[in-house]
Amino acid sequence: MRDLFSSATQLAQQFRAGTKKVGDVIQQLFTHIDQTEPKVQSYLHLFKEAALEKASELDEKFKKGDPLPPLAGVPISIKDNLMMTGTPTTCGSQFLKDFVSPYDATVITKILNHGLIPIGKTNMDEFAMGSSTENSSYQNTKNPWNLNKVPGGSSGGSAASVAAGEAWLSLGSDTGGSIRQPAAFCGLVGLKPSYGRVSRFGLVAFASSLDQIGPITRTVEDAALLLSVIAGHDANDATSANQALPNITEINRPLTGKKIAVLAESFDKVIDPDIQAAFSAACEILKSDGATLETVTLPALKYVVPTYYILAPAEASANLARFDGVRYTTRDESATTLQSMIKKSRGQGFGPEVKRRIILGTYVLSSGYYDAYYAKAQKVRNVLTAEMIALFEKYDAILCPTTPNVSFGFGEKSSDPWQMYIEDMLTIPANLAGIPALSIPCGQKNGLPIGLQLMSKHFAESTILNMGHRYQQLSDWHLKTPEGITS
Amino acid sequence: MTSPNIELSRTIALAHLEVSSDESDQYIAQLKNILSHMEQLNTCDTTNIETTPYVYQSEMTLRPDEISQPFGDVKAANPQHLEGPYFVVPQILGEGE
Repeated sequence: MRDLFSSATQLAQQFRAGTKKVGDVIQQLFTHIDQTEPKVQSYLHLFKEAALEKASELDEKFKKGDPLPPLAGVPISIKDNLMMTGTPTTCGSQFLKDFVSPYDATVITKILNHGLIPIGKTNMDEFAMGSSTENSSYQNTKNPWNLNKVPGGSSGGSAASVAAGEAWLSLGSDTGGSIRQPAAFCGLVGLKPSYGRVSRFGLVAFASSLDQIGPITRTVEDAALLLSVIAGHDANDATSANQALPNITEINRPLTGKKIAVLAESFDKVIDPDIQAAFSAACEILKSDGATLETVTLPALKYVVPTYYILAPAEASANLARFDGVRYTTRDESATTLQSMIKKSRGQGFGPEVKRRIILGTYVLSSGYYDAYYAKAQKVRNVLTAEMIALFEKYDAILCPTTPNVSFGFGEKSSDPWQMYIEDMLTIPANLAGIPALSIPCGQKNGLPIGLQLMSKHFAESTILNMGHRYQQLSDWHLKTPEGITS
Repeated sequence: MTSPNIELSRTIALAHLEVSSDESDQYIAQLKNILSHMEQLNTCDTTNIETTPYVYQSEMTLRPDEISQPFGDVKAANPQHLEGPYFVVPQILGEGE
């Protein structure tokens, strides 16, 4: 069973060396999923037959010695807001329970072309709105490290699937921390690429100026490899950037000469003291590899949560207008007019958090409030971005914990939305500024993982992948697996 | 941005959402609380700062002006309420909501 918790890089090497067959691994994986899924509930849909068929094709190619891409044969889970032809895409919402993807997202086309094997689609907060996956209208995904705790969100199913040994890799989406926070809660690596690095074509939009697709993996090396598969300009996404792909071949360079800015806010009283201690220890490891660390402040950090919770709901209220009971979604059949059908369908179809954010977004965009809220938040976003760019003129990366607290219990933060929102305070800056950010495991508190976050300037993913990889060469938090999940 | 008095019924109408009166009361209380935290933004000096929807403007690359069908058949994705190539909906004109 330990084999199910190896890195994707190791697994791919075993396929290449002929010491493992893809079909055997897929069979073993689904046996494991049958045992663990009733406890963890990571997946909304599983694709066993298609996976076995694809595995058989790949085993033939390996046998013949055909040239295959580096991650060929590796099983991957997919967040359920990414289109994959012929499969359901529910976005964790009952409103889309009957929707079947009519085309492949660009990232899906790319992973299929690289021989990765989609295992299933994972649970998520409805329309990616949430930090615990409790807002899914299907099921509560559990944190494999402690089944009484949340896996984080909104890509909670993706993170739980990798942490539970139910997939080697996963694709999530990150609008305010939805890859990095669940990765931190589940002891994994989560990478939010630069805005524009990965095509959003085929990702169901939440907040279009903030959304990015990225990897959730066990090692930084795996994240770098998967990023190299999914990155690149795409003619179907006008916001995708025509930038050179990140150089991932040199991520094992020692950190000598690298300068890292440590956010002073990492030691604020709102950050759990045990997280502060783990963070300090991680800083020492980076120093021991040659990096120079200096403490800095980010004055605009105190504004990021209100800024985000104006801008993201505003964009969501516009993006979710397309779900109207006419085309993609379920419909209230009792209405007798078009207008009432749309209102009733949306009122019944969306869950409470989504409705709350649509109303909030509509409010801040409405006449009389636009300048006070939306325009002001856009300006503050620029203030924050300018502060971060100024730091990158002097430093290669910014370092802070990924989250102020470790994973929490179900229902613990549900009654007060703001308490849930402020958990995103350290992940939101990267989305607002459009820069890449990486979360890696750096400790534990009472058996629950702690995450460390590295941010770098636009399109400098290779910088933080280098730092994260070196950290993992000098630590072993990424090698720990949740005990008890297989018993 | 002083003490937000939520015009919820107007906002709900704009959002095309039907919510119950219980839900409405809950949303009013929660949104007042959330909006009170937004007041903090008033302490941020944004004099001479531009409003831009995207903070990182990379050069836009236009695709060739050729007909393509990247979206597949969207109608087939949710075939309920289809009649031929059309989505069937209730009448547009009618009494009340």
